[in-house]
Order: sequence, then structure tokens, then C-alpha cells
Amino acid sequence: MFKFFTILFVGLVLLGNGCAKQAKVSEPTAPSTAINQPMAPVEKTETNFLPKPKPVIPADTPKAPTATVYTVKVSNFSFSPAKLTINKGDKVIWQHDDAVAHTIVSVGNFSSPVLSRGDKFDFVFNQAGEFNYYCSIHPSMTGKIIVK
Amino acid sequence: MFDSIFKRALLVAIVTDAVDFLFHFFFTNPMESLTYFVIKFLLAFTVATGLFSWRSYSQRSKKILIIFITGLIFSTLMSAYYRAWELGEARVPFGSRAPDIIGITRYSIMFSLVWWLGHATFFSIGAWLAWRIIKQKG
Ligand SMILES: [Cu+2]
Repeated sequence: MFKFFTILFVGLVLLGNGCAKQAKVSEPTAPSTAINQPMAPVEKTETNFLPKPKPVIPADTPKAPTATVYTVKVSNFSFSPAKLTINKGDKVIWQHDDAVAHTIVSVGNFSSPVLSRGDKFDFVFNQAGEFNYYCSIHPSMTGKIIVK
Repeated sequence: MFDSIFKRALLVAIVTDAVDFLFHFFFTNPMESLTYFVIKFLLAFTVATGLFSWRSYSQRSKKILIIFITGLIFSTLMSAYYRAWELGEARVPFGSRAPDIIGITRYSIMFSLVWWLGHATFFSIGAWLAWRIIKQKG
């Protein structure tokens, strides 16, 4: 009987996906929003009216100003939308809003740190193709970005 | 004798994985990975081999209790593996690997209990079947 309770105790300790513990752990990971920093310069370039050599640019490339920013929500153990079609040069922002930590990984292309609620990760797709990605903690969580 | 131990352990591993797969399929989100099922298979096989090659196992009464305690040991080892994976290799928050179980909030002791007892039960079903179906020779 003693053996039984010992096992019961050890099991509970190990299995304890305790709420308190997890909450504590996810808070310090908040600084990982550092990855948001690339976002700031991008917004700046859109709102920055200072550089005015504009007359030169339209001559050769009219595609630069058409870059769009898309948001993929990471919640309830899934990516939404799971499949997204974008154009070359567009940016995708993954916005984490789940109780559990997730990552965004596309082997050979991009890989986010562990994200917790409120964190963001972004990537600019400069090459056409199909980019499959998944969460390395929950490999069944998958998504796909199709770049035309 | 070794032949029957091997067969029993194999049956336990297959049943443990199959029942677990069904559980994940119907009651959890997301589904677990292939690696998870491979590791589970190997661990179930190893623990079952230990159980059926244990000399006094065949002499003991209360076999079902022994089987279930072994199931708990198996479940604990599986959990230990995942906690080690979370903290060591993947460096992700404690407990974040476990998928959600439909209808049970993950921030309760019930959640942990269901995982622990669930995995132990799946193993026990396999071990019980192996004990009933495959007769041990020698
Ligand atoms: Cu995930």
C-alpha cells in the first residue's frame, strides 16, 4: 500500500501541469516580445514622410508600396487562418493568444522562440513558394503560407 | 518462455498505443506526434517485458492490482520523459506539452489526474489482455 501511495505522489508531482507554475513561467517569457522590434521600423517606413526621393522609385518598381501585413492568430492549439495566400514581399504576423506556449517553425525558413500570450512573431516572405510550418511543442499544430 | 514474454510485451505496446491514439483522436486537441507514439510504444514494451519477466509475477495473486501498479509506473515514466523534454530539450514552460482534454480545464488537478490515470489505464488494458490471451510457457 505504501508503494502505491509513493507512486501516486511521484506521479502527481511529475504530471502536475499546475496552473500556478505555468502562469509563472509564461510571464518571464514576455520579454521575448523583443522579436516585435522589427515591426517598428516597418511601420515607420510607411508613416515616415521624410525621405522624399519618391519620384525616382515609381519609375522601376511599383510593387514596393503594395506589401500587405497579414495576421495569423495562434489560439486554441491552432493557427487561424491555417492556410494563407499572400504575395511576395508581404509580411505575416503570428499573434499568440493561448493559455499554452507555442512556437512557429518552418524548417530552413524561419523559427520563432517560445511564444506566450501577447507575444508576436513576424516574417517577411520575399520568395514565392509554399511554406509549411508547425509548432515544435505540438507538432500536430500546422499551418501553411502560400506566396505567389 | 522468452518467446511468450516478447509476445505479451508486444501486445501491451500495441494496445497501449492504439487505445491512446483513440483517446487523443476523440478527446484531445491537438493530436500527438509520431515521435510520441514511437516513444510510448518502446516504453510500454520495456515496462511490460519487465512485468512479465518478473519471477514472482506468475506466483502472485491480485494480478490485476499488480498490472495497474505497473501501469502507474509506466505512466509516471512517460510523464518524467515529457517533463524532462519540456525543461531540458525544448525549454518550454512546464506542462505546456500536454494537449487540452475536451471538457477538462488544464488548470485543475483533474487534468493531471486524467493524464496520469489515463495512460496507466491504457497500459493496464494492454497488460490485462496480454495476460489473458497469451499463455506463459515454462
Ligand atoms: Cu503549440
